[in-house]
Amino acid sequence: MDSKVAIVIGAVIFASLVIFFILIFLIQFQKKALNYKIEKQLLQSQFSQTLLQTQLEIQEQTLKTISQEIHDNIGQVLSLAKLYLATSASLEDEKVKESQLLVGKAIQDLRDLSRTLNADFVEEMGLLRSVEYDLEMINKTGLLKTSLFVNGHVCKLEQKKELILFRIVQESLHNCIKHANASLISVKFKYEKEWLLLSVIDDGIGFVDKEFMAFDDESLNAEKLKVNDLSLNIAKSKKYNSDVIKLDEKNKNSPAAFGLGIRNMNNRAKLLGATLEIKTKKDSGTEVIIRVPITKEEIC
Amino acid sequence: MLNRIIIYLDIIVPLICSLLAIIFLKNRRVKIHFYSLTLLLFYILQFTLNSIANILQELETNNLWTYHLNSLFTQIIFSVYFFFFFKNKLNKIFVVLSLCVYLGFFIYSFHFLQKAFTFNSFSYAFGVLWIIFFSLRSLQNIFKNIEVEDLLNLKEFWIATGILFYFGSSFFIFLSYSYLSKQAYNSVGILWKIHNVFLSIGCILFLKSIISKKWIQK
Repeated sequence: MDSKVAIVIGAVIFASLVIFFILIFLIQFQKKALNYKIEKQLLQSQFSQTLLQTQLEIQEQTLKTISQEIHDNIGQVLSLAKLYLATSASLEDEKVKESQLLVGKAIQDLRDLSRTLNADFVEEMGLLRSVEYDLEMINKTGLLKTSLFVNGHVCKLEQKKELILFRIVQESLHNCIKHANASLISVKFKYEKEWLLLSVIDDGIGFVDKEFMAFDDESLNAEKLKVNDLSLNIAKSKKYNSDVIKLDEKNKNSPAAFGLGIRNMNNRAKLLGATLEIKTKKDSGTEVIIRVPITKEEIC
Repeated sequence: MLNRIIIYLDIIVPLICSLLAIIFLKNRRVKIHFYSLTLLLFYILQFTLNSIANILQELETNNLWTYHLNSLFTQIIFSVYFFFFFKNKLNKIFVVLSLCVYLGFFIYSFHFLQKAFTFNSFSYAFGVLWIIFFSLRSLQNIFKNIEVEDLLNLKEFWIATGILFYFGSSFFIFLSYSYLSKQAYNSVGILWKIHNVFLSIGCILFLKSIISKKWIQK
């Protein structure tokens, strides 16, 4: 074989080997970069989960302390005041009688408040009963009518899960009372084989001129568009085939766009691996739907 | 026997690959992707021109003009592919410009350097350089956007790999063929056999691209 041809053959073989190794190197590099990215994301999500959990624990502890203070301190003072009024010389006085009744009502209200603030209460009574108790309290005010519906076989969920769910429901109810201008609130529990669907529905004014809002992992992957100054992300959700406004990491500090309460609800739901949807239409009420997975360990 | 097969590999492999691709696309009953169409066109081009070249060689007639056509059409096919692959306007302009420069050089070379009955080493190698450059650029784009699990099912990745393997390896053959066919006529045949092997690898990689189900969405 001619030496010049041999040189060309050598060059060809060398070029093909170089190309081969470049491709292998690129694939390996990409693989490593991807692994690094996944690890980083995992660490970040673990960190934010821990942070979230700590925040909630602190919140619960604070609520517990407030609850104890109400019960042990203010409650006791009021009880003493009631006792003094009862043993007062001017017991025949109408005003004293009225005061006695008012103090009695204040003691009862504070006791109720103390109960709902305290996590132990939810642990003792369970989620369903605690929500029922809360609804009864709202009913008692006479401002709103409430109803509770339970569908399916009731499951006893993990205590922590029940507490978090209770707090989400509480926040929803609080929103209904404060913002919705509603006359009726319904809470629905629907126990399915692997899911619990918990809905809080009101007939109020709604709060966004969109069909509904959703916060779930699927919508997080959707195409992002910037809208006005609120930086809301509007995405087309395949699942619901409708316009969706979603909350994401970028605008989580924008209370102008979403209230702190909704963010807390969303964060709490994330902790449970649950999805939170808020369907709302102007003047057509609001529906908050929490979809929680039920594990095998939870008794149904 | 093996020697004979290798000589005709540049006809056999494009033919088999194009048939397999057509069967596959027909069975899948989906809209044929533009990239697959480009590759099918490349198979047909290779099959047609290489068949003509081989027939002419059997008839002991000069067949080198077919390589001028091969280089020209290959350049056009892959320029069209890269034009549609790149989303960036600047890259698109660059592809069009490179094609214009190539065409200018092709015409110049055809008239003044290596005419119809001489192997077009210059224009072939010049065109191949552009194709390699754009395939590397496309690989860079792919690696920037795609995760590795998707990579091996991605049409564009296999096209770029096929281009790099075939054109990258054959570059020195194209560049030196005209010179060596004068200097070492008796042993230059082996180079074309090596070329045929790389063309076959390239065709198989292109077939993998046709079979692959994913592509980068615009």
